[in-house]
Amino acid sequence: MAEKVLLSMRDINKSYPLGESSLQVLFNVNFEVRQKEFVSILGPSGSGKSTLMNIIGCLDTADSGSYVLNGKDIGSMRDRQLAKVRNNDIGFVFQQFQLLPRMTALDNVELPLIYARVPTRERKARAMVLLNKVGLGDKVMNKPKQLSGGQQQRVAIARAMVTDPSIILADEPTGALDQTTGAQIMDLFEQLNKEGKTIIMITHDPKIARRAKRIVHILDGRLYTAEEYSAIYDEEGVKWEDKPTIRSRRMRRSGNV
Amino acid sequence: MFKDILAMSFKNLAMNKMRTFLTTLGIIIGIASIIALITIGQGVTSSIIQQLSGLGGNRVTVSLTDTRVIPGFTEEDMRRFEELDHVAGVSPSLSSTKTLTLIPGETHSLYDRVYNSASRVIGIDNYYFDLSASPMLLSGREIFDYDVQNASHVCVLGYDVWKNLYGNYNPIGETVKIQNMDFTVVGILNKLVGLETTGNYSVLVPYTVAMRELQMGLVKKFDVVISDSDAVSLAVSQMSDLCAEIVGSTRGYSVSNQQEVMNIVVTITDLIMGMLAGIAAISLLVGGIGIMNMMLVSVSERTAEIGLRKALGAKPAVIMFQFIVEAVIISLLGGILGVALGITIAYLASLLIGYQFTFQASTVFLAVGFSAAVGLIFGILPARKASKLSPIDALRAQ
Repeated sequence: MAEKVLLSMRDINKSYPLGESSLQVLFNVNFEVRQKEFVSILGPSGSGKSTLMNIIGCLDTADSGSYVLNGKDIGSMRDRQLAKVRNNDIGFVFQQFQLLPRMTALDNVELPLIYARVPTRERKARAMVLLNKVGLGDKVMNKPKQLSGGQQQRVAIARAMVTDPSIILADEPTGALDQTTGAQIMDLFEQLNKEGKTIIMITHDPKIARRAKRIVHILDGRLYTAEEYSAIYDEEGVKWEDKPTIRSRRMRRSGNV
Repeated sequence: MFKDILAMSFKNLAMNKMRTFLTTLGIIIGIASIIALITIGQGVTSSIIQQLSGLGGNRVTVSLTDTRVIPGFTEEDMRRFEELDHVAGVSPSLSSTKTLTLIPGETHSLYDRVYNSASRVIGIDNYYFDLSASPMLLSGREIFDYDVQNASHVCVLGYDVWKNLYGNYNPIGETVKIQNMDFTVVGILNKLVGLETTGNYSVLVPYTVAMRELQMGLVKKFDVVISDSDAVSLAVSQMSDLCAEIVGSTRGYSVSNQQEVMNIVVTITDLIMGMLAGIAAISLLVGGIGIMNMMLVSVSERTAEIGLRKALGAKPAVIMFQFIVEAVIISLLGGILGVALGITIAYLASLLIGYQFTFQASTVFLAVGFSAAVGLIFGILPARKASKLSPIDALRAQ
């Protein structure tokens, strides 16, 4: 894997104020993504994966540690610069699609280009290309309400790619879809990845996570590689060391009798 | 990008037509009332000034306020005023109620019988006809100096007196009796408006006739016309001295310049109009608060949208700008409609009240600028709120 490192996180810590004390959500997170990778971050709710996603997506900043995305030091940036990074380098795909209901599919896809100050004609052309790519070339004037869930997510994916960002950041992209449609969306992600897109996907569903080339586990604010994780936890997420051994079970039984 | 934001703002406002209209209405009412009041105020003030301007700055009124000291000024007294420096002439005026008699055969009045009526008779001289800048006479001629000198039995009818006695017929050359003395009608006054309206229901005769033959007593009040308007204050002080000498006291009379009266009138109208405009401005303030309220509601309704826009790369300044543009559009729209409504109201009012309708472009620019400022000021708070929303919290709120 000789591709260059696109995203690099070192010792990221994050805590939120909780009453008078604070709640630490991320502990010394180290994370690296190379170009053309398809990584999924897998973890149950409350594991800190949303916080991690917010930091990766430059929606939030870490308390300590360094974060370099596409050669830019994110940690030192201000709101205005973060907005620019979100616009240029990141394409978001959300669980609830997050399309603006009053706008057509085309307008929705164009939106990031408006903030990138791309001229109208070029904007329309680029948005059309991407809507065709996700298979919605005939539905560009439809409003979100007139589209199915799967189609809405396709519009959202087209929007995520329209600025040609360095990474596509998908947060539970199949969470609001049925099995079949979800699988189709995952097919689309796989295809995009084959074409050279870097994709980071956050999910709680191991089945969906397995569609990615690499899985990173997050649990209680700590990140584990697949190997580290399986050394500590079984498939059901129970720690090996917490599992009762046959011997202890026997001892307990005899003691109780 | 500005064009796109403008288009988005219009779209958003068009989505909630009713709400947008009601919010705009607040501004419309505020601006319309300010425009209407200012325009009506300017019209009324300029009408009054026009009425008064004939009185001129170089007329000084001498009046006796206490007849217990002396009964009035004699012709001799007035001649002494006339001899003062800078004095062009003296215009006395004395009035009293006298019996007017019209006899069929001698005159062609509306009445086919002997008709008596009590009417105010004012003794004047030719200066009376300089009172207003607009023409005083509807028809006929003025009472000239030689009428005064010869004490000729001529009279000019006030507008209402003419209407009352002759309807629309021409009375010039007719004879009427005042206290059983024959007077020839030589003119009719225009309908007077403004301050000097007593003429409308009066009969004007030369003051010499009024004093000597109609026994209307001595002059209680007369105007002194100053030849040089720069010397008015000097003349006023001279006249005060002379008055004190004639009256033999420092009280019981007043010497006042018409310009002062005019200044007072203008000050008062300005004050009243300013006060009314101030009250109208309060309604504009309320309208502005309405905008702020609507924008705040709009921001909380569109929290998710704002979050998404931020996630997609909208800078805080861009979000802020979008909301300010919306507020300014509403208030500008209200301002423009308000100006139109206000001018219409002022025009209708001018037809009803009868003042001259004038309107100044500066008022319009002021009002439109003012309304835009209201939108800007009351839009800032909600727009700041929107721009400061955290994209995470905003996206979470659905």
